[in-house]
Amino acid sequence: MLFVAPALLVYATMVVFPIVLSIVFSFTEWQRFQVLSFGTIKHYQRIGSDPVLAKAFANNLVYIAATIVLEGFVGLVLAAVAHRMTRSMVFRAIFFAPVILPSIVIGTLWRRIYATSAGLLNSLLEIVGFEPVVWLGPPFTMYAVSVVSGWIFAGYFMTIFYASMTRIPSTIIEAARIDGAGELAIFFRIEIPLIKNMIMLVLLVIVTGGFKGFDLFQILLRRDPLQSGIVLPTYLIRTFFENTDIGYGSALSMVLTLVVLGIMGITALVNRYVVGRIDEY
Amino acid sequence: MKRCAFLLVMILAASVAYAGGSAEEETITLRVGSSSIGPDNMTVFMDSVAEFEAQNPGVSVEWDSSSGDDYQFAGLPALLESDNPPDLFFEWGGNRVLNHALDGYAREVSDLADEFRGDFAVSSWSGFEFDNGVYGIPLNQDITIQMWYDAAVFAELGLSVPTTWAEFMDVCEAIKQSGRTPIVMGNADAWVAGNFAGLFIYRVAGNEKAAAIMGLEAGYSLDDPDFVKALELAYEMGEKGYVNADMNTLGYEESFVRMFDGSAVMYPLGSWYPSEVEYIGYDFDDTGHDYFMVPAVAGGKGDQTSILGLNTGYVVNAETEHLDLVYDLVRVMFNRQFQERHSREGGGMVVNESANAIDSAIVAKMVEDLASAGSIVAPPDTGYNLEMAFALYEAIARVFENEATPAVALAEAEAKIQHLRGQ
Repeated sequence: MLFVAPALLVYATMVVFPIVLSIVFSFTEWQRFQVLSFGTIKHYQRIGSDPVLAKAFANNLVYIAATIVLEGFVGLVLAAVAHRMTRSMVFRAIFFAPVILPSIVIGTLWRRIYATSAGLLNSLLEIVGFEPVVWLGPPFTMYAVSVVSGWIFAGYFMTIFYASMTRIPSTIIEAARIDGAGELAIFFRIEIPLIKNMIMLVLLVIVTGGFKGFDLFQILLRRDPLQSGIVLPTYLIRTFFENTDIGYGSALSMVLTLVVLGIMGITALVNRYVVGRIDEY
Repeated sequence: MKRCAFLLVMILAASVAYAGGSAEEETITLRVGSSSIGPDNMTVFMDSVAEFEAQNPGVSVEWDSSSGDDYQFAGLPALLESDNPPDLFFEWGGNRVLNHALDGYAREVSDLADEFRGDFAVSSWSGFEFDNGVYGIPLNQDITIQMWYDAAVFAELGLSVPTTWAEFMDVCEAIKQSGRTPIVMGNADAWVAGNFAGLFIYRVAGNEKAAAIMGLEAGYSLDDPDFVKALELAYEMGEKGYVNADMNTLGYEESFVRMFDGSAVMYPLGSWYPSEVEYIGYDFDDTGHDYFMVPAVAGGKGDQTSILGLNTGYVVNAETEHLDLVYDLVRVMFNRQFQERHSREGGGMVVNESANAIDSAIVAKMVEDLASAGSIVAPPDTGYNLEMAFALYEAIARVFENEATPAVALAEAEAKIQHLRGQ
């Protein structure tokens, strides 16, 4: 007990205490930073009828669905390609590079790419005779942000999948080839089933990360006056810092935490009862 | 053992030397937080800081500035909550200053304000003076919405400055026919179009009614027929293509280039436009840009000569440990010499009216417009509840984009702020 005490103390101070405080805050009535009374449930009642929250939640689901494809699936395909290369170091380094760039650099770069006037994408469109498109506005907003997210994190997940794939014994792959399996069959019938636990883990990371994404949305969309790209974290930050609504912000963060915990629970159940375990890879 | 003793002696000697040295070199650092400032105004601030530092040996001033929107919503709150908060910080007069007073960040500075009262215009304290005292010292008087335009393009197209709303629409149409965007706005942060349409709202609904609605008074709502009527003007401008199609994704600082690459001709912005133009590297005097006030709205119930405007200034942190020094810094920063330089070199209006550089044509024109205004009304995001203001701004953004009709957008904005009613 004595050995774990320092770690427990840090955990209690940095994790447990803020969570307890948030729970208390969410039942407290505030006037800006002043406590008026404790014991209200009005913040939770408001959640059910908040039109912005509904929109933010829907946008979050679109973002998560898009990033599962653009980060997870693309990362998986890139890993499979790298796995088939004799020397893949440069290939992997190229796709991993965006991960190490600061968000502000990436956001600024992609704002230039998406810019309506003289942006890279629209310049290409104009060359082939199309009208410029407002990429960061509706209906493209969420997809535009998701593409940037995919550009950053596909390489990251490629690295994870690649590490798993390299642990698959080459004899299994060779045996499949001898039996006449093509590359697609090897990918879908051997590699994916053998790293399915890692795929589930990556899915969990993408889904839970999708509920926490803030920086890209803020940098790419700024205040987003049409709210076409509002997501739960941006709404949460505005509620806390712009509206200084501590009680409602705390209630929102509690709900967000419960949603993420719920998803983690579902993933664990799916992993256990549907996917099954293959511990080796 | 000997080695240990030698080491101990060396450490002690080094500690004594360090302690002695640090006592001699001890300095006090005052921190100032501000939003982005044009290079000319910044030079004036730095000169005033240098003068203050010369008068106070051992005291230095650290100036921490960030872009307007970053400062407003993230930079300043973070600075105020940090371990090393600013002793003095910039603010837009109005509700924001009042909130700082309520939250205990702003010091009541009536004693300091009294030193300036004789020189400053009476109206300059608006937004900084409340029932229980003064919570900041104003520096600039800003007109928040003027229609800046490229005079060379107007001349090329044979256009004259519009004096009625119908003429204004005709000017927009003529510019559109020439293949240019009549009005550009960088509204990604919501307030540019919000301020622009905010002026229509006052003009259509009348100052008192607009203030009652935005002030969340009982019996009123944002989807009031007068507000709907005001936003129909915005809807029409969007429908006819008089505003840039990407206005709601274009950043404020990104949008200025459209006034210089020939693609747009007018920009609804405040009296700080010349300073912003210089900030991005142009000499305002060489641009040939001028401004006119937004014309009267036909049939509007409000004061058609009203001006959307506010005072900006600096707030003393209630927690500052160096109050006397901060007061001295303010005395230097706000003295007549530096006010004159702010107006002359920064190209704006200062609250010490006699210090305004009226030999500058633009400043003289702004001073005259401000003096002849029937009323000065507050922008929604500084004069009223910020959550209400952004709900309204989001509705305005949707209306300009024709994503929703004024009635629908305002009804949805009202739904967003229902929880504020009755508070």
